[in-house]
Amino acid sequence: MTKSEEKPGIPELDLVATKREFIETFFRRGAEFTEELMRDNERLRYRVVQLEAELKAAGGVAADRPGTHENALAGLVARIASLEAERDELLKRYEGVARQSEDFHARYADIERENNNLANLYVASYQLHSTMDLREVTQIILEILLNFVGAKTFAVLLVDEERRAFRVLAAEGIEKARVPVLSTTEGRVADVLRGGAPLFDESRFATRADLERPAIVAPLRIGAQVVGVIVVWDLLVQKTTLQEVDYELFNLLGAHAASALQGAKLTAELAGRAPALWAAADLV
Amino acid sequence: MRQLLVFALHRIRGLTVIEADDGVDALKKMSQQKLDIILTDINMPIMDGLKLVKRVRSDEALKDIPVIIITTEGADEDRQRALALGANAYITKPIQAPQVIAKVKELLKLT
Repeated sequence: MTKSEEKPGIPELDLVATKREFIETFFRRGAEFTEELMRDNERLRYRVVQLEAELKAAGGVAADRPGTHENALAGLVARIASLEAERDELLKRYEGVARQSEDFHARYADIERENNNLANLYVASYQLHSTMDLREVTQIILEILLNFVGAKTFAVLLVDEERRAFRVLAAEGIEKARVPVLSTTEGRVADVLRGGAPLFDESRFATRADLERPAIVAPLRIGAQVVGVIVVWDLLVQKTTLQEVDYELFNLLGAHAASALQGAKLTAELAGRAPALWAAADLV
Repeated sequence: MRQLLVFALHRIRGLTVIEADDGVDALKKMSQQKLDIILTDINMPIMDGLKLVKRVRSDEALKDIPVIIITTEGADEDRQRALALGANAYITKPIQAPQVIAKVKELLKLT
């Protein structure tokens, strides 16, 4: 059979070349697959390292002891304990700050109250010595008792040493003529006159006036001598107890009201003449 | 009350205090000069504080002036009555000077 006799269109099979090509393709693909496996392996290794790092960060598990559930659980438990300790610490700090805040609030309230008290005392003392007019001084004493203390029925009594009896200077809540005659030698008022210590009967603060039983008897002094008393029979209905400032106001009146009255009385006795204060320079 | 209040109110810078003896005297003084605020007691001779508030609120020229009542009357119905008549504030005695000053400043918008 010659070449010219070969059937046209049918290629001659080269089995050797085909085999070689198959083998080459097989090995090339094998190599590619191997490379792909190596890349996957590398990627997975990297992921393992990543996960170990995350686990360590999350649970404090040592990087060299990865993998077991026990380790992960222990890490999480440790983390929870750590967070709880942190929370407890924060709560303690918060409680400390809250306590401090409450202290500040209380101190602020104290300071505000003290400020108000001082303002009232300042106004009262300033007013007591703001005039030498006897009627005005008397009115100021009444106003302090009514407006600042909250007394309702009360009187200012002065000791008449010649008659050894009280004289009513002024009264509020009761007509001057109806003020009971009080002894200078017996009873609660006389005790205050003798001893010089004020009487505060707290059981009488929230009750109606009983002219037989004063709620408050406060001495009026010039120096060490008691020259009169303030007698309070009842307080305004909304005033059921005395505050610290009220006791201070009675102290203030005790120490200053009588001397203010005395000064005003001496001025009144001058009958309009100038007080000639300059003459004091020769008396000191 | 007047003397102590006047003294306390003088602590407010720029405030001039005009005193009146009762409600009628107060209305007379209000007709003579413009006022910014009124402080009144309830218990006053001739015209009491509540009647004064009523008159002020019914007067076109005076009706917008803030009124503070300072009184010994501590009952809630007294307070309600005064506020219903048009009082802006109701302070019961005993008073604290800073409390009154603060209320005056508040109503005059000085704070």
